Amino acid sequence: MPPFDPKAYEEAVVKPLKRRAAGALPDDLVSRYAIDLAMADPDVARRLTEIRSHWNKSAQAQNKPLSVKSVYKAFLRADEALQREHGGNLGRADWWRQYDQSRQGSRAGQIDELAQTLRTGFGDLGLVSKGQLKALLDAEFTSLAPDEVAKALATASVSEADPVGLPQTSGLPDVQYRELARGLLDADLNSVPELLHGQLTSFTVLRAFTSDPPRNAGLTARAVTEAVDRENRRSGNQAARQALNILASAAKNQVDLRELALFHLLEDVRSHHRSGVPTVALLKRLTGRGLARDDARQAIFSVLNESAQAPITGLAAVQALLEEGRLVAAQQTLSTITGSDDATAARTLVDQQLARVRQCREAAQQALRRGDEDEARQQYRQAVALASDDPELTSELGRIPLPPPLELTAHPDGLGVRLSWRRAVSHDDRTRYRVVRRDGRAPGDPGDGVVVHDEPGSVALDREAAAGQVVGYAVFAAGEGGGAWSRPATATIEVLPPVHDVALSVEDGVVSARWQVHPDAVSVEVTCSDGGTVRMTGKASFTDRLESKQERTYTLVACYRRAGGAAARASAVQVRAANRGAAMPVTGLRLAVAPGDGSKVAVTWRLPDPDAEVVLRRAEEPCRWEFGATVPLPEVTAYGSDLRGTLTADGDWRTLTAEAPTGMHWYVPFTIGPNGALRGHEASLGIALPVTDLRHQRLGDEHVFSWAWPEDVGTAEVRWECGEEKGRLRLTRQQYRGAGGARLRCGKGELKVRVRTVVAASGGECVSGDAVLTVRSAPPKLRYSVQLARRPLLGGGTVRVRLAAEEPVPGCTVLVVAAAGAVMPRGPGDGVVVLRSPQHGLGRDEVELTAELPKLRKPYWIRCFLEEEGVALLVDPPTKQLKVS
Amino acid sequence: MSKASCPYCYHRIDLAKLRFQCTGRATPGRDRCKREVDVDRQRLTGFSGAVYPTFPPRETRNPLPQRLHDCPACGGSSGIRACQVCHTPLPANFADSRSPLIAVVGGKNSGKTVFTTVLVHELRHNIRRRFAADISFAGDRQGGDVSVAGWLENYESALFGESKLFEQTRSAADGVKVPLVLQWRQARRTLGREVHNTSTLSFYDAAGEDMTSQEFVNAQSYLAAADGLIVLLDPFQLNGARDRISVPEIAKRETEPPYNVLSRVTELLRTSHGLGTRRKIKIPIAVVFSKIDAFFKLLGEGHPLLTRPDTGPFYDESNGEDTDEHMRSLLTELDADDIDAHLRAHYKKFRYFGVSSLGAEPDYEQARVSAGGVRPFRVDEPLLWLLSLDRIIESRKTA
Repeated sequence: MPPFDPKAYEEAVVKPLKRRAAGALPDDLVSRYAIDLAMADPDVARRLTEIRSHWNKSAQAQNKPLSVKSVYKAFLRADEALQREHGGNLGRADWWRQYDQSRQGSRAGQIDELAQTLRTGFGDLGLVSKGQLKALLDAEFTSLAPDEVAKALATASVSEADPVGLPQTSGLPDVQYRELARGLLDADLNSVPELLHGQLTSFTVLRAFTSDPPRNAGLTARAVTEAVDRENRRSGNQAARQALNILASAAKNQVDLRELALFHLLEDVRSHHRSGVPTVALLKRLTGRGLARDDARQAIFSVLNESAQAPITGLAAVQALLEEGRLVAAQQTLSTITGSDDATAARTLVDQQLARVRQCREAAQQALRRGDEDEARQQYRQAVALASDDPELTSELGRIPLPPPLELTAHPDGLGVRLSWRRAVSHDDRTRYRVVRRDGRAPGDPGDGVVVHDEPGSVALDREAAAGQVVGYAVFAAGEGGGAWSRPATATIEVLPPVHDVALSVEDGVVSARWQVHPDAVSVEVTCSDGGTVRMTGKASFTDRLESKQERTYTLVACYRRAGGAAARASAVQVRAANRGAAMPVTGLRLAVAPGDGSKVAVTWRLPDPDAEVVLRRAEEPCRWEFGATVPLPEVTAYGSDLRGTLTADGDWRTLTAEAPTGMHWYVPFTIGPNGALRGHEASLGIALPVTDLRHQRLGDEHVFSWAWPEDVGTAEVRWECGEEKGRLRLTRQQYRGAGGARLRCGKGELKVRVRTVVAASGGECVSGDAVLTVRSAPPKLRYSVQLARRPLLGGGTVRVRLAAEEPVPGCTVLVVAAAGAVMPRGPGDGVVVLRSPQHGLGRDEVELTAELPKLRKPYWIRCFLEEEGVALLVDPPTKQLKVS
Repeated sequence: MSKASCPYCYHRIDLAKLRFQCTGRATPGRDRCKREVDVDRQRLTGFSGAVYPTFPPRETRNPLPQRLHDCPACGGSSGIRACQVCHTPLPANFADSRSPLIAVVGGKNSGKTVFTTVLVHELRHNIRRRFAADISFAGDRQGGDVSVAGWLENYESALFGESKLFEQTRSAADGVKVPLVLQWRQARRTLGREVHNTSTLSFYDAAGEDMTSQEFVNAQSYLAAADGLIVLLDPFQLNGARDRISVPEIAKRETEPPYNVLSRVTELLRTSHGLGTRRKIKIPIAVVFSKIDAFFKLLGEGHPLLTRPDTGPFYDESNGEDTDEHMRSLLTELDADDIDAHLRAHYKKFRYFGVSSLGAEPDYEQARVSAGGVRPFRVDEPLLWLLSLDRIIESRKTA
C-alpha cells in the first residue's frame, strides 16, 4: 500500500477547494479519501483511519490558514453523512472500485461538455482568467474535481492566465503622443520597435522587449541614439526623424519606451474592441504589426478584461436600459434621441416592454383574486424584472401576502399544547409565523385572540392554554421584513393534559412517585395493577410499599372539569416499580489487547451476583464518581459510550471483546440497581496503531530490524528473546532514523522479536498490538588462520591451516585452495586444491591441517572452503594472511 | 606555501595570499563601503548579489599570517577572508588546516545525490558522535544556490522525513555549482596539549548527465581541482549483475557502463594534470559500488562484505583492505574486472567500497524509500578513508 503523504494530499486535494462554493465538495471520493483502487480491504480500513486522523488533526491545527481548515471541516461533515448512508461499506475495497467505475462514466460527459464550453467561449485566444473559470464552474460544473477541470482545459487547448496590467497612458503629453503616432503613420511604420530597429520578424513588449532578430539595445535611450544616427545618414524620411526626436526627448525624461510602444499598439486594439471587432481579427491585426503571437494573445486577453467601457447613447442606450430592466429610464431616454428612425424604433421597443409589464400585472391581480399568492408573486416578479425602476410595481409586489402555512396540527405536550405546521413552498428560513389562540373557535385574523408565537420556525408550544375546554389556533405567515399576513391555517383541540415527568424510586421496598400536573386538574387517579391502593400526598405524589422481588404497575389519570360542569379525563400514564433488593458493584475488571491486529480490547469482569445486570461504559476521561456510588441512569448514559462486542462466559467471569479506538480510554462497569447504577472497579487502557512491514537483515553478528511507522507515533518498543537471553529496547523515531533501524546483538539461537508502538497520552501510555518476527538461528562459525613456510629458492612451501569452531560443527570437508593472480579465489574452482581434509566434528579445540604448496608466481592466494553447504559458516582471516605478494 | 582548491570557483589558491572582504563598518569620519555586484564573482560562480568589496592584504615583512586587515577604502577592520580569484568569502578556518574538495561523481542513476545526502546526515549525526567532533555547515549557500535550511528541507528532510527520492540532478551551467561545505572541528592531543583542528570539507554532487560524454566531463572544472574523488558506480549496470540478481526495470532503461564513466574521468584528470604516459594519477580515488544491498542475498549472510568494521574514532585500515580485496573478487565474479585493470593502470591510490545509502531497494516507480525508512550501510567508509589519507583522522590496523 503506498504510504499516505499529508503534504502532497493537502496540495493536490485540499488547497484547490479553498474557494469552493458553500456545500459544493466534488464527489471525487477516491481522491478525497486518498484511496488506491488496488488496495485490499485491510488497506482501505487503515487508510480511512489515517485520513480521518489527518482531517481531525488538520481541522484543529493552529498553524493552518482558516480556508484550509474549513475544507478539512467540510470533509469531516461530509464523512459523517457518508458513514450514515453507507456504513461499513466504506471499509470495503469493492465498494470503492464500483463507486469509481460509476463515477467515471457519469463524469466523462461533463468533462466533454466543459471542454466544449471552454473551446467555444475562450478558444479564440486559448486563455481564460481564474475568475471566469471559477464563475463557469460555479454555474454549471460544481461537481467536477480539479484534475477533471484540468483535463477539460487540456482537451479544449485553453490555459488559465491572469490579465496583465496594461498602460492606460502613453507617458507623453497628449499633443506629443499624437505627433508621434502621426509620424509613424506618415513613415509607414507599424510600431515604435520598427521605428527604432527597422523591420523585425517579430518582437515582444508586454513584459520585456525581445526581438527576432535580436537587438541588444532594446527599447532604451541607446537604441534611440543609434536610430537617430542611422536616419541622419540617410536623406529624406522626415516623418521618421520627427518621431525619433519625440522618442529622444521622451527617453531623456525617463519615459518607459516599452510602455509607450505597448500603449501605441493597444490604442488601436482598444478602439476596435469597443466597436465590437471580434478577437480573432484583433489578434490578426496585432501579429500583423509584428507583435509575437503569445504576446498578442495575452495583450488582447488583458484588454478584454479591462473594466472601463465607453458610454453608449441613443437607440443603443434604450436597448441597454430595457435589457437591464429599467423601463422608466428607457422612457425618459426616448426624448434624447435625435434621429427619427432611431426614435421610432426605440419607442416601439419601449411600448412592447410596457405592454408585457401591463400583462403581468393583470395576471397577478387575477391570481390574487382566486387565492393563488404564489402565482401572483411570480407575475409581479416578472413585471418588476422588466421595470425594476418603477416604485409602484415594487411596492405592489411587497404587498402580496405569502401563501398560508400547511397542515396545522395541535397535540398535548407536557402540560401544554404543541402546535406544528408545514411551510408552503415559497416560504424560507426567514419567514415569520404568528400563532393566535382563541377559546371555543379558531381565530379569523392575526389580531383575533392571544398571540402565542411570532417568529420563524414550524413548531410552537402553548403552555398557557386553559385545561378542560376547546380552544382554536390559527397560524399566519409573513415575510421577514413584515408586509401583509397570509391567510390562516387553523386547528382546534380540547385541552386535557395528562400527568407529566413522572419520577419513581424504590428504596428499601418503599416506592415514592412524583409528577407534574396541570393546575386546572381537579384530581389525579392512581390505580395499581394488582388492585392495591396507594397513599396520595396532594395531586402530585404518592408512596407505596413493595415486598422483596415484587413488581407493581401504576396507572395515573389527570381529571378535569369542562365549562358545562361535566368531568373529563386525560389519557392515562403507566409506570412500573420493582423491589430487586440491594445491587453490588463489580469489584474485578481486567483489560487486555485482544489477539489479532491489535484493534480490539478484551474486557473481563466478575459478576457480583448471577442475576446482576452489568453495563460497561468506555470514556476518554476517568469516571467522576467514587467506587460504589449510586449514579442515576441518565447520568450513566451521558458518560462515554456503551461497549458492545462479543460476550463469552466462564463461570462468574464474563469477557467482552470489542473494537477499540486508538488513544487512552477508561472502562467502567455499572451494576443496574433499583435506584440507579452502582459504579464498579475502573480500569484504563491505551491503544496505539501498530507498526507494519517488520523486516530483518543479518549483518555479521548484528541483526537489523526495520518497520513502517504509523503516522504520529514517535516511540517503539522492541522486546526480544533468544534462548535464555531476553531484552527490551525503546527507540524514538529519531533514534531509529539515526541508527538506520533497530540493531541487536544477541546469542546464536533462534531469535523472536516483538515490536509495538508506544504513544504518551494524558492518562498514561497507549501501546499497540505486537508485530512479531522469528529469525532462524545462523549456522555455527568456523574460523581459521593460515601460516605459510615458503621455500625461497626452490619455490613452493608448506601451508598450515588452524581450524577452531565457536560451537560444535558436525562432519564437514575442508578444502585448502591455492590460486595465482591478483584476485582472491571465490571458490575451489578458481585455484588448485592442495588439501582435502574430511573432519568428523569440530569444536573449540584447534585442529591443524598441513599441506604442501606448489610453486606459484606472486601474487597468489591461500584460501579455505567447505565442500558442504550450510553446515557451518567459514570465517576468513584478514586478507594479509591469505595473500602472498 | 600551501595551496587548496577554492570550493566556489575550483581554482587552486595560495592560502597565504587570500583577500579580505570589507565588513561594511567604516572607521569614524570615513564613508562606509557600498555593496556592489562583484563582476569576477558573478562570472566565476554565477552569484549576482550585491556584496561588500574585497581587497588584497597589505604588503608586510612579518612572516606570520595576518588575521585582520583594514579596508583601504573605509578603514574598517576585517577578518573575513575571500578567494583571491573569485572573491567569495571562505569559511573562517579554511586557510588554517587541510581543506580538501571531495568530488562525488558517477553515471546516471548511480545514486550520487542520495549518497551525498545520507553521507552528510551521517557526518552530522553518527560520525560526529563517533569522533567527538563538531561538524556543521559552513557558509550561507549549500549544494547549489540554497540556504542551509533550504538544503536540509529539500534533501535531508525529504529523504529521511518524507521518504521521498530525488529527481535527477540537473546539470550545472558551465560546471559551476556551489558544493556542500562542512567544517570538521576536532580536539587532538599534540605534545601533551589539547588543540583543536578545523578542516573544511567540500562535497560536489555532480549531475550524472554531465558524465555522458567526454566533452561534458571536460567541462566539469571541479574535477581537476578535487583533492579526492568518490566515484559511484551503479552495479546494476554491470553485465554480470543482471544475470545474477533481479535488476529494477528503471535501471534497464538508461544504461551507461561504469567503465565508460571511469575512463572519461581518467582522461580529464590526465589531461588537466598534464601527466605523461608513464605516470599515474596521484589523486586518491574511492571506487564505491552503491546499492550493495541488492547483493546481500547473493553474497550470503556470513560474507565479510556484510560485516561492519569497528566504530572507534579512527579509520579501520585492516577492514578497508579486506573490503577492497573482497570487492575486487566480486567484480571479477560480475565480469567487471576491466574496471580493476583500468584503475591499476592509471591510479596510484584507489580502494573499493560496497555501500548502500538506503539499506533496501526503494520503490523506483513511486520514487519512495522502502517502508522501513533509510538504513545506511557503510556509507561513511569512503570518506573516512580519504580523510585518513589527508591525516584529518587517524587510521589504525585492527588485525
